[in-house]
Amino acid sequence: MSPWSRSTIVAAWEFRRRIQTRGFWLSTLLVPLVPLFFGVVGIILIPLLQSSDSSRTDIALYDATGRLQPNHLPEGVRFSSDSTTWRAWQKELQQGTLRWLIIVTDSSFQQRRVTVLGRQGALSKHLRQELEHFLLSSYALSTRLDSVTTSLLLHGLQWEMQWLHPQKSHAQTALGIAASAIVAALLLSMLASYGSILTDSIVEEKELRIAELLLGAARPIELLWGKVIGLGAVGLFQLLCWIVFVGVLSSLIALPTITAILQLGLLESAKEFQAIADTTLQTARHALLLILACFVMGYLLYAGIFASVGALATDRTQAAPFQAFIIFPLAFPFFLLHFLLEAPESFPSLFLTVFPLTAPVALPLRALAGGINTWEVAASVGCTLALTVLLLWIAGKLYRVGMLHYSGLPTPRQLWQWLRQVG
Amino acid sequence: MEEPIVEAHQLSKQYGQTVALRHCSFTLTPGTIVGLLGPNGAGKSTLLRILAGILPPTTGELLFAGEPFQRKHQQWIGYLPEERGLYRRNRVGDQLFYFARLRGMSTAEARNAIYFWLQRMGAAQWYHRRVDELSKGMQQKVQLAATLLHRPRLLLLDEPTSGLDPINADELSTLLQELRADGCTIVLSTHRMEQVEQICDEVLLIHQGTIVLAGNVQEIKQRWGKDTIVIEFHGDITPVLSHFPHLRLLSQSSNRIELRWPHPNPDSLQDFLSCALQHVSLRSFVWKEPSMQEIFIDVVKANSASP
Repeated sequence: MSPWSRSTIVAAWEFRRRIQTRGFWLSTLLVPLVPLFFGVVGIILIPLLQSSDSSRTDIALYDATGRLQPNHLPEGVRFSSDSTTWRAWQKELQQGTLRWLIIVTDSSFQQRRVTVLGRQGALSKHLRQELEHFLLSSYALSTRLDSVTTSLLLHGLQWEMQWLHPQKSHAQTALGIAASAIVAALLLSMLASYGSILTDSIVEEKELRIAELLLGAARPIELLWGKVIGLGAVGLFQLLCWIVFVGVLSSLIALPTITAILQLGLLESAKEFQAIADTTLQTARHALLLILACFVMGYLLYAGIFASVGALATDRTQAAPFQAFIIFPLAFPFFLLHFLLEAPESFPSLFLTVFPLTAPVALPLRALAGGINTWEVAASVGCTLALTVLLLWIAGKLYRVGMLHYSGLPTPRQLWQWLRQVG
Repeated sequence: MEEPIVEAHQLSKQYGQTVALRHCSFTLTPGTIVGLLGPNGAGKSTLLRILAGILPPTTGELLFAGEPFQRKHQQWIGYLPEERGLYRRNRVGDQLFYFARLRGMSTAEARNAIYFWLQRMGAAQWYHRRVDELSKGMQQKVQLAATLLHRPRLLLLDEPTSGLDPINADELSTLLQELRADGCTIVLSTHRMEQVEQICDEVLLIHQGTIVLAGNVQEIKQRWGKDTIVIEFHGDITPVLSHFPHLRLLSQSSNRIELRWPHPNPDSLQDFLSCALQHVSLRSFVWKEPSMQEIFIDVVKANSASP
């Protein structure tokens, strides 16, 4: 019987033991509801936030025709037909003091299309209606047409949005940040949970004196590997359950949500919704791959530490403070979230991404929020792999001696002896 | 003579500065039950762990059927540690299946072996029960079944009767004798001396990490000599005892007394009997072999006293 066969048997045992518990299925069913809830709320809130136009002084209308009368202009909206002002407004738009710059030219009326330059988001439906009313009345005045003819001429006026950073709209950025935060939080909780389960599982066998029975049947390293792989497989299985669960729920709520958003007029068109939906899907695909990759990477890295704690502690009470301490580096990227998202090229950001103990959470945060270089990913993965090998090697040594050590926590000197003792 | 299943040469084990075993040499023959005796902390569990392949000896050599200990030999061994447990929330059958598979048994072999041993232990109805629903004695039986599933050639049992009631302890003794008859070698660490006398063929007595007594139980007892007198009588024997201060009183009741007759003894047996006949009416007088308990206590005391 090969060593891997025994590890596989241990892994299968650990896997079956965990997924047969009520706690596993409860957490599998309940956890996805939280991000799903926030996801739905987010989808609804993003357009709402975009439509907030309480202050209209950052909206300007440039009349290139020179024929419009600003009498019925919506309140607060700046107006000019002077080309000097137009150039000044362009600068303001670049600087961010101006949010929207609406340009009306002769072709706007001929092609029934108004161009809107903007930094982010979209014009609210209400503001669009007010502006349409203004354009309609001004055009009627300038052309001396009656209002019925004018409204027929301008029926179906298109608002062509052009963003300064077209590759990334406000919605897309928000989605990226939201996704990265959800993914990082999920990874943090999963790594902490499964690491703790690994420690508890080892301590349980030591506490209940099952370890000696097992050690009589398999080598320590086979038992340790089996345990690490089995519990990691439970984590992956749970992730897959969540993916399927979220997928099914999303498909169930997708159609009603699209209908509701379009009916509420929160987005201009189905096309605009489609753009957001595409971004969401793409982000979700990236997020899933990142979750799976970072979970495996982070779990194997932290498994070495959690397993060592399990082998050294005599009971769960002794292990608990160490478990809490171990996950601290994983939570660190959240404390420095500002650097990771706003200043991705700063030193703290780079450090958190490359440092193996923070990488499993920092890497997906940055990757999903955007602005990570390939070399940073390579460095992060490389460093994490190197430390993983080292930590698992140490864990193997400590596990072998620690599983038969029942007299409290070892001293640092003992630890050193243990590391040197066994081959 | 049959080839020994285990030959231990100068086994020593050291934990840091603490020496748990010193230069222990012995052989184990197939189809024998060996009582591993010794006071608490003598090194019995360490020796069993080394034999089970869980701990490597610091120095010395361990041969299994003439070969140095290898991975394959671990499959010959069944080890029931002193401090033992089971997964509390899992079913008996599932756990036994897990242990059997770890021992290299196929699914079918494992199922058959589990069924057989649970039946043999009178525990077939526990297959689907969770361990935390079983009493300590029941758990003990399940643990023993887990040790026997793969039909080991060498069975190492550390205090197997602790937690068992007298009936189950007796059943265990019967089972061990059956296994011996099948050719299994059993090393039984126990403090129950009557069990050693009852079922063990040989003993290894360890004290402070050193083997201080080893050999066949009957031979040891004969070697130790008959130094105990059992007298049954009518009357008051106290005046007799006061005349012979060198005799050690082992036990006394109203009409029975057990005395240790030291060797050498300045008093003659004839003088003692003459005196006794003057004071009491003798019903019987028997020279008795020392019990293993007495030998154990004597040896341990003698070795504790020696520098």
